[in-house]
Amino acid sequence: MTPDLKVRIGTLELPNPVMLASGTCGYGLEMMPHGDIAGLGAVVVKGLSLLPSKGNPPPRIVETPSGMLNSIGLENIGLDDFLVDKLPKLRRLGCRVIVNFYGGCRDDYRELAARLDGVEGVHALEMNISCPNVERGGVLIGQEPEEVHKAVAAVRGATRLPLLVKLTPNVTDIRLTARAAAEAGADALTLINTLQGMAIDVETRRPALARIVGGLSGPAIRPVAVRMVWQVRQALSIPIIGCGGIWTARDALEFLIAGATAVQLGTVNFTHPDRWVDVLAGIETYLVRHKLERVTDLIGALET
Amino acid sequence: MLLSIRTARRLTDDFHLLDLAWPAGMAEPLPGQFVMVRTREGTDPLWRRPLGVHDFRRVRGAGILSLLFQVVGPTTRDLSGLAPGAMLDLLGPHGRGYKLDAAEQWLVSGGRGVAPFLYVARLLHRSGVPCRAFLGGRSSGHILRERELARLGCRVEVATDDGSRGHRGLVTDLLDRALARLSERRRTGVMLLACGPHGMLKAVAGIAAARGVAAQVSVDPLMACGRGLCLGCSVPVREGGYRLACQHGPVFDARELSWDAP
Repeated sequence: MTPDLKVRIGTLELPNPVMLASGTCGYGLEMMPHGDIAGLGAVVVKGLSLLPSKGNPPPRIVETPSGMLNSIGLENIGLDDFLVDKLPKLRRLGCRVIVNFYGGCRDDYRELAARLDGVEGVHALEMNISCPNVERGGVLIGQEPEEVHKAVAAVRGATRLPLLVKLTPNVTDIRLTARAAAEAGADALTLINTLQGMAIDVETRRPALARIVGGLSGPAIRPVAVRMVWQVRQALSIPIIGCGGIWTARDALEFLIAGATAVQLGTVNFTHPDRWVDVLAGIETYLVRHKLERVTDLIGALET
Repeated sequence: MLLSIRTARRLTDDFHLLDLAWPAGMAEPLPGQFVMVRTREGTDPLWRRPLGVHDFRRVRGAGILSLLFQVVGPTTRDLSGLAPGAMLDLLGPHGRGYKLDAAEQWLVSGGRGVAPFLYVARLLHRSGVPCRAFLGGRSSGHILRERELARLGCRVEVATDDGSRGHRGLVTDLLDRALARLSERRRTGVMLLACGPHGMLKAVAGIAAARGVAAQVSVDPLMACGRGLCLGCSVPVREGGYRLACQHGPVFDARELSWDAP
């Protein structure tokens, strides 16, 4: 029997638990040559801001052991161009679309959420709170539970769409910001965004990235991400979307067992643009092999 | 996709050449485009590596892609050990290449920057467009494909840093001298195509501007995906902001780029 791969995240029903992570699959359309993206649980598009953003100066990326650092600077085409140029094509493809977005202040967040509310073809929102609040001297919203609560509550009031909040792992206790987001009305949490890191060219003594510090992603961070998913699962009942260094189906299964309802593939898309197809097939094979009828039977099934 | 290796050849100490069978039905690569290759399972190195299309030709209808590379790291070291019959995991071709629409094309390379020019010269030869090549390198072992370019009708001049072959000094000096000898009228028909280290490209852009000729340069920033997903390979442009080397390039009009930006 074919196992049931359907999962539910708040009011959002997905045919399977595999998504592509924001910032690693463009606006989804770029992935089409490598597989029909309508077959994914969902595509999370590149983080949008109200106005286009040109991003950071180069160098923006550097390879590290089983990982990479990036400081892209949230380069994107802006909300308007997305709605006009990208979304209609995604709709025609029949792809479930989750729009990742970020703002420099609470009003930006609220306006983005309000303008995306009710737009046909947008199935859910994912709020990136790992960015500086320009009103408060650049403090990272996602690092302070109170700021998280205020920002998420503001967005919650502006949209009826399922709301995912993507948390930064650069905190002492992820459970505190997770609880703040959940209490402010998030429908699910995406764990985790990149870990802060740094690399240096020792010959020139210069930082590898123009912005010096960047975000670490890839398999190097996977154990940290799995741990955080498990910790939040223990503390809260809100659905979790696990993300961080998934390279194979085995890695995706780790997140599901730790307590994630769905997973996102990120950095792997750069090297293997069609890997999500294998991950999906691998999850199904595993369920058959373990005689599980539903993928939901596996979620949080960690034996301790 | 997996391409099978037909021949593998060592050209000099650390330069190698691979011929691969191009799958039937695949669009032919364009000059100046690149492919992304991977030699290992696992996650170190994490990224594929971009390699320029060195040559593309058909033998009895079957396409052959040539890759020219210098051993500089783990992926190119692995590539140098591949034997005929082995398979290579490759994505592409990607990017926008050289436009070959001028009356006369001059090719300027530094070291492994000669890579895209055999295919360029082949296409120019086919359409009867005059071609000159200026090859630069550290020493004679870094001057490659001189004979092959000459065979395709290119007039070739060589410069090495140590004087072990050709002019002792910079390849851009040879270029500037050659341009200075042209009449202004003839210069308007010349297009420079350059590939090499950033400093050389910048010098070519400067010479082109000073001598009033057009130039296209192929840039080579770090690249994770090669397909516009990671936004890592940004190049500053004169009008402000950035373009992606993998999508808008790797070949740009030299005037489009901001040469003084970090």
